[in-house]
Amino acid sequence: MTVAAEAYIEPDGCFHCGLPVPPGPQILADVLGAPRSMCCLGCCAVAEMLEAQGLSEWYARREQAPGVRAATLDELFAGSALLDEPALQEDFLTLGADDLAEASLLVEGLNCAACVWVIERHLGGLAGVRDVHVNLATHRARLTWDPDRTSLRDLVLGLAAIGFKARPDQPGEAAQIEERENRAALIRLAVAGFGAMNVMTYSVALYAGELEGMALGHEGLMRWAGLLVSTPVLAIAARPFFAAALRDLRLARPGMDVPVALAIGGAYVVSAYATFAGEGEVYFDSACMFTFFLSVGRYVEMKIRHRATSLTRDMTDAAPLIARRERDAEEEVVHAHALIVGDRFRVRPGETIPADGVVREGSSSVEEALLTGEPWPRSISPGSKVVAGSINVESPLAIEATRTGKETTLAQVVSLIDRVQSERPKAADIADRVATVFVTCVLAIALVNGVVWGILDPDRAIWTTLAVLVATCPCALSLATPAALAAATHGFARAGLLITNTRLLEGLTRADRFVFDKTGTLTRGEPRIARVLPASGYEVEEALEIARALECDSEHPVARAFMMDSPALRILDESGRAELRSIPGSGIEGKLDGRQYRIGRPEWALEGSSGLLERPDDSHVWILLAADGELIAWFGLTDSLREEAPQALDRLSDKGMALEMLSGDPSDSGRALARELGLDVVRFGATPEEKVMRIRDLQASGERVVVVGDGVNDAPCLKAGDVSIAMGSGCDLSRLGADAVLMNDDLTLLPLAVEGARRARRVVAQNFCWAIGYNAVVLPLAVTGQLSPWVAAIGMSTSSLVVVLNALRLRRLEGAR
Amino acid sequence: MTILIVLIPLGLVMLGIAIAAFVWAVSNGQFDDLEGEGARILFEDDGPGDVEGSRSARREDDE
Repeated sequence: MTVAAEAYIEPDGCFHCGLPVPPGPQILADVLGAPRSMCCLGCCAVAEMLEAQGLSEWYARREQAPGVRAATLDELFAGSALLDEPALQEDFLTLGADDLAEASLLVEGLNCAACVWVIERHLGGLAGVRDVHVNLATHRARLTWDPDRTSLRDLVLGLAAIGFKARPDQPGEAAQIEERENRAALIRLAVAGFGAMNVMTYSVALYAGELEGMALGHEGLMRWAGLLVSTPVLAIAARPFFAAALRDLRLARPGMDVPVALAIGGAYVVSAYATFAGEGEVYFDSACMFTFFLSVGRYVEMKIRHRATSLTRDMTDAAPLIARRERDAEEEVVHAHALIVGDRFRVRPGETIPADGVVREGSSSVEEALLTGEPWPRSISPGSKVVAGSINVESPLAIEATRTGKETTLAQVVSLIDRVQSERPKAADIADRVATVFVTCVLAIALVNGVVWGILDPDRAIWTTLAVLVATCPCALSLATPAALAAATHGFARAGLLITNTRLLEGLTRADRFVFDKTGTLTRGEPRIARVLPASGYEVEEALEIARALECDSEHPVARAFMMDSPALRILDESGRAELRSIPGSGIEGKLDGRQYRIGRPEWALEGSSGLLERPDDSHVWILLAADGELIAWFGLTDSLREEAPQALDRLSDKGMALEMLSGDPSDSGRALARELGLDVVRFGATPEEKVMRIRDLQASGERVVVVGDGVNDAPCLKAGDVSIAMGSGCDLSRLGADAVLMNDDLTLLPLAVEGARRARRVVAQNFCWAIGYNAVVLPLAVTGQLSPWVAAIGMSTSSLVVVLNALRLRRLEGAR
Repeated sequence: MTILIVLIPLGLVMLGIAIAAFVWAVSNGQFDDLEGEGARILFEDDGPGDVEGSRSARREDDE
């Protein structure tokens, strides 16, 4: 198969992985008939292998460009050292027959069949691994291995080596219930589908007989066959409709299920009676087809719901957190929730702090991005307070727990999310509102019809009443919304916006205002060098070169800012390299060309100079480069704006949205940013509670608010908004609170999503009009006793098909790449 | 048209078999992953067989 050249998604960087291509000699691989630049020999090898095996069509098939933000190895390896702790293993490891260990891993970043292939081949090739099976739909890898020859940790590291982050999965009850539900729905679908097709063949014969004449015996045969096949269809496939209708009636809140159950049940009972009595019409085909079409609609709805719940479940069932508790100067590994206030525990570099506490020993820095959203590690020393969930960056710490378990700051934020969630305004479901009106009308008409015919012609009363029920069965009506939602969800997902709650679409069409978080949403959430102010006698380039040489070995975010633009050109001489020292919380020092350089916190870098140093201004975070106590340059770091943000915001305001930024960061940099973006209203230094208050105020004034954010501190806001969207690169908890996740962090999808949602609303409206219009046209036929079974069958299937086909137009998000 | 008396029951039997086969497939987990399995056929060429082979080869090395 040849694919048109424009079909490839060509990333800006490496053709294979999308990472920036480093300067220097280019690595090229011939893929799909042209040389493509690669970032490294690894990608080159993979690309050439795919090409050699004729599999390079993968590049044409992949659904989105590879993410530029690849997880660093540090992130991938975080916490893996703990996997072999027996205290944790009993939670998720099972020892099967032949002493083989079995575990299920939840693999992040699993997107396509190519990933499945890579994982199965790679892990399958590791020593001791007996079996690997990856389920793409659930993102689980089921592993069986020989524990004497390899360990779970090695397997997780094996996955990390090929770029996948995995964590042990504890199979929960909810997942099993979902699986049972899915299987039961599939079986119902099959029974209804096969049944409907067979009944239709008998019915076509009956219709032909009605026109051409038919032997009475044959007619009876067809009717009995129809009864035989529809019985299991009604008993198995239509059972959920009857159950739901009964529940609705008991609650005195009739929904769409009541007329559905009435039509299906009525058609079946009366047709069965006609079969036994040998007189009157049979509607078996209509009953079965109603059941089939409606089962398809319900199945699709269920799939959307499952995907959303499994997404959030994956996030909440995070890997169990452990603590290294100190007891009698010994270290023991326990569950984090086994800690009590007053316990002392140790945290090694790279590990997550399991409880709130006060540092007793050691100095280091902690990354609190999870809570504050700010990317800068905060330096801590004995006496500092730390919160659970933050990551210890530099050196070991001993901490005394002050709050544990449900009392920690992190746990309280999570419970805030839950509370806000329960107070959230309920988006009214159009379908349910329409249904209530509809049901009342249908029942009234059927009743009046029955009474009138009962007076005029009692023999025909039951048949025309049934015809009314069949004609008004809201099959197309109840397919109208799910079909549109399913098609739109699919279209959005292809463009990179994963919908986890279907109310997103309705919310987006009614939105008046977008509220953005700053760090990580409008900005990248990683520091960049914005300004360089060299002292007299030094050049900008020279200062940068020295800085890069000093920072080249560091994994600190500041160092990444220096290395982002270009790699180190000057290498420290041997002796200088040996002396390269990183001082936690202060900076880096090293020797270069015989001079002793320091880069980092100004007071430390210029040690010996008196007093507090005057920063050039307040709009950046400043670090200082000095040599032998002499100032060389100031570097102003700032969090850079996403390139597409101005364009995305422009288009949103073109669509009539008010825009607003709420930032937790009190510094001035946000103000400049807001001016640059032309944002209407801006708040700084807002706590999560204040942000929620602000959103509540807006809602109280009648606005509908869409919240876009990325961090845990945003999570309560995300829940408070009428609709919320989380950044894909944001933390897990923020995604948990959101109605949709922006998988590739591309803000320009937001205006497209608004447009897509409006289109979806139009399609739903058209579908409603069509479905109600059809029912209105057929109703007079039914009331006058003119509706023969074949007219009912054809009309019903056509109207349902029209609704579904119309919804399929939403499968592409217009304007998306 | 007396043949119908044979054909229709036959059709019903076929229907029963079809549904039974589908139910069997569903309860065997064949429909649990609708996305990944479709592509799995592309792996077969040199996939599991190869892995199997290299694994057994390695096992011999070890022992």
